[in-house]
Amino acid sequence: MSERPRPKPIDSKAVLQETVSSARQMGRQLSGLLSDLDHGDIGLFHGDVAAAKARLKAGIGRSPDVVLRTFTIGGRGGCPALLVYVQGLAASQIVDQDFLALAEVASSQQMAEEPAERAKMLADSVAVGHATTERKWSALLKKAVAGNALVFLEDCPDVLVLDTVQYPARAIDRPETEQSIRGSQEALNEVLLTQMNQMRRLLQTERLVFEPSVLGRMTGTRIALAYLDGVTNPALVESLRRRLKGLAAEEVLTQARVSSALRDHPWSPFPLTRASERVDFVAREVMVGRVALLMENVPFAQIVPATFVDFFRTSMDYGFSFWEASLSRLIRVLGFFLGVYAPAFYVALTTVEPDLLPSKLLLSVAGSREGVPFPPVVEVILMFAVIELLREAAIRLPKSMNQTLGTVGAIVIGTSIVSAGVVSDQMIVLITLTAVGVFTAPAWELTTAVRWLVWPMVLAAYVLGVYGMALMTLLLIQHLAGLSSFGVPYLAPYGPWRPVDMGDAMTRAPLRDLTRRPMSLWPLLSRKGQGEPAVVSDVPLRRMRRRWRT
Amino acid sequence: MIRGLPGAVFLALLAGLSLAAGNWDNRPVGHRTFVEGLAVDPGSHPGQLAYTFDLPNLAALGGGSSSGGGGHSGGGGRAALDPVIEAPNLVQAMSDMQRRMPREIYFGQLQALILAERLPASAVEDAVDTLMANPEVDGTAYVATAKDGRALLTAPAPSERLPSDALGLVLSCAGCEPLYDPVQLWQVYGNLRSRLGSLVLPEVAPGPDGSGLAGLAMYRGAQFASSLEGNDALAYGLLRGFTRRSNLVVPVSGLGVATVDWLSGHGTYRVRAERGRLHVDVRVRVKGQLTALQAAPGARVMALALASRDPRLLSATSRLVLSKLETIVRKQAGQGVDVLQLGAAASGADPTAFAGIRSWPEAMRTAQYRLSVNLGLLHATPAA
Repeated sequence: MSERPRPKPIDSKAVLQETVSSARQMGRQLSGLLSDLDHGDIGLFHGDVAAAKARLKAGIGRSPDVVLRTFTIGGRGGCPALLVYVQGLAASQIVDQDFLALAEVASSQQMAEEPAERAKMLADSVAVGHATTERKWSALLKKAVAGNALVFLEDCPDVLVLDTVQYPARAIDRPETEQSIRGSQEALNEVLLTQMNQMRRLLQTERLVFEPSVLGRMTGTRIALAYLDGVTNPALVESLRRRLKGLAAEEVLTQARVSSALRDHPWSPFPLTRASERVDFVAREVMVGRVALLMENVPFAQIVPATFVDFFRTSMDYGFSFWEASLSRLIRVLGFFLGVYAPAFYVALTTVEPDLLPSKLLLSVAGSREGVPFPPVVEVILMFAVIELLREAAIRLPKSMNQTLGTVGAIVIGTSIVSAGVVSDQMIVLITLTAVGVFTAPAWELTTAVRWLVWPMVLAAYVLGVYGMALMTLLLIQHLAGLSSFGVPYLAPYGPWRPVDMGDAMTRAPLRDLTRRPMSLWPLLSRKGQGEPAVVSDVPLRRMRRRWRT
Repeated sequence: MIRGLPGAVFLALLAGLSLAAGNWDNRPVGHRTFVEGLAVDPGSHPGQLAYTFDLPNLAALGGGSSSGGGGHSGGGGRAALDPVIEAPNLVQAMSDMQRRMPREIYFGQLQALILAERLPASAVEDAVDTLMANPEVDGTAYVATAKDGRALLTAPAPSERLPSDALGLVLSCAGCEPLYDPVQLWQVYGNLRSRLGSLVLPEVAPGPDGSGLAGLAMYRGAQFASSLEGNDALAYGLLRGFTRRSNLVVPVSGLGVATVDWLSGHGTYRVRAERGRLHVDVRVRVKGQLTALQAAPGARVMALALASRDPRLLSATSRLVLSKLETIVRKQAGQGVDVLQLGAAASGADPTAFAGIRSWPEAMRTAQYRLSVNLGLLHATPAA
């Protein structure tokens, strides 16, 4: 029988020290709260700098990056003050500059005249940057952690809030996921202000509006809706606002969190909002009457509404002749269908309906499958699993390892798996074609849909052959026809049929002929280059509101 | 309207359509033995027929690499297996064949059906009817005649993996051959069923470099009657309109020997029935190109442009074609073969006028034929 370990003796001294430390901290916090309570409301600052310091020190002041510094404004006999800012988030250079400015403008006499107006007087005197005043503790703390510097002044209930925000920012880089041979090479970065500047640089019109908002109770993520005032239908913006308002989340750190709230159909595998990191693409979409949702910390803009054909468009399409652009788009569409149908066709034609294959091809297929122990459907599953593994590994591995991974994928797995007789060599050709087809989609979100769709299609092909695929295609069309993005039919302009929007759909007409904004977006200015917005009567507005249901 | 009803109806429809698929008994490619070619020959005993099945040896074909030499080794053994089954009919032969094979024999990929000349009509009808009754067979296999069907299926086909592939190529490529009108199984079936006009099949013979077309086989009903070869076949092709890229060497008195190339033509005919006798008026339009003229000894050399309009050349060429046509028509009619497909023409044009004709072979034998040829010649431009 094993002996039970003896419990460690309690270190009473350490416990006592910890208790005393907690009690002191609590005491400091309580003294601050009590001071504010004496003035009637603990949610507001009442001009007691010492109490404020105690309260802050017991709260966010415990973190080493929070700086609390007391000093006097206005020289000898001046006003005691407390400076609070978060090191790193607040630019120390701006803090110093602002303080020099404060020291210069404030004399002891001025500071003594009207204590309650000190903050407003200082705010008016500081010329550089934004300086505002605030009283509420909850707002003050939020502003402090956002990178602002707070100046608490004795006997003044208003706290001076200096905009000293300067986030560490990545340089503007080339787009990683939406490369273009010709055209702009500028991607969005993580700072919302920079994103807005980038957009503003491309769309130098007074109509461009950025509507700010904050999401996430804990994260306080700043977002901005970018649209053209007088062009984008207000009902669309209103609907977007309403949906964002309904996003009651503690944390909003990723774009997916927001886009999930924006989707009309949360369970559909098809993407209903288009993400783009290209500034020129986002600007172009805003130009035609869509709304872009810019988000702090996310170098991608979400564009709404998005229809099926939108996911085959790239900014490069507008940098080439319509022949090139149309061909590229058709190739992408072909890639989509290849991705969805190629494995299923292989299964259907080798398992259920070999008689549909030309004789020579059938003999090649049958010959290459001799000795393969698995049925075609298992081959497809195996190879798709391999492709998915390689894809996942390619994302995780550092770039320098990508070549190694390519070698492993192409030579080691591709060749060896055939030599070992696990799959046929034609399966390698097929799966390579499929993978290439899937990843020709310019929007990553669409590839996810294809990668999911493959499975029911393969299953239908396995059970019912080409007929099953036809049935599955019917289901797919039914699903797609039922989808909408902010009320815009997903298959527009093909379903419903809108000939005026055909110029920029699966093919692209010459740019000089693309004079109209998409009708499915109901823009206020349907023609590009039109002057003032058309007068929109109540009836169509109500209709639009009904379409863009929340 | 009940909420969700359209969705339920749609799903029910989908389920119904799924159940109605009708392909539940299909087998995967690895469970099948594909019959690429089938030859029917007379058997070694009376009442018996010899069926040769051309089956690809998948293990030898492996990975799709060409083995060359039909029926010969491709690294993993012979590329084709050609078992011969003797049976009274095709159904029995298929059944016997299936017993010998570990996989299901499958006729959905049948490329060629070869019927030996010496087959009785019943054997031809049995083979065609049995194949067409098989749901796997779509009727697009090419049908041909040979003196020895088995020899054809086991002959080397250097350019293809299987003899049937080579045969399929020969029989399907109408534009490749100077004289050939592809005939498919469904057409033979229709012809035998309707009895409208006689069956004309290509005749194929094995050669050192693979199988090739040797002529045309004329059938009386389902019974082989005779073969047409050389210029006879050419003339018949001109009459029926399936001659392409053929040439004719014409001796012309006083001019020399002319070579007329790129011959093509088309025949039109009118049939009248008077007092139980057929009057057939056949007109053939022939076009060609004079490509060479070898002057007769002592004759002056004439330019091609001039010679192509020379009445002597035109007349000699027309006479040559006409004489061949007359020979064919009279000879075949004498055998009761509907060489002009009069039955089809009559049935399409005026069925009631010909209703009184009881025996077509007799009517053709006693018919009065009038044939004429209208020839137009171009001439080749000499190379600069």
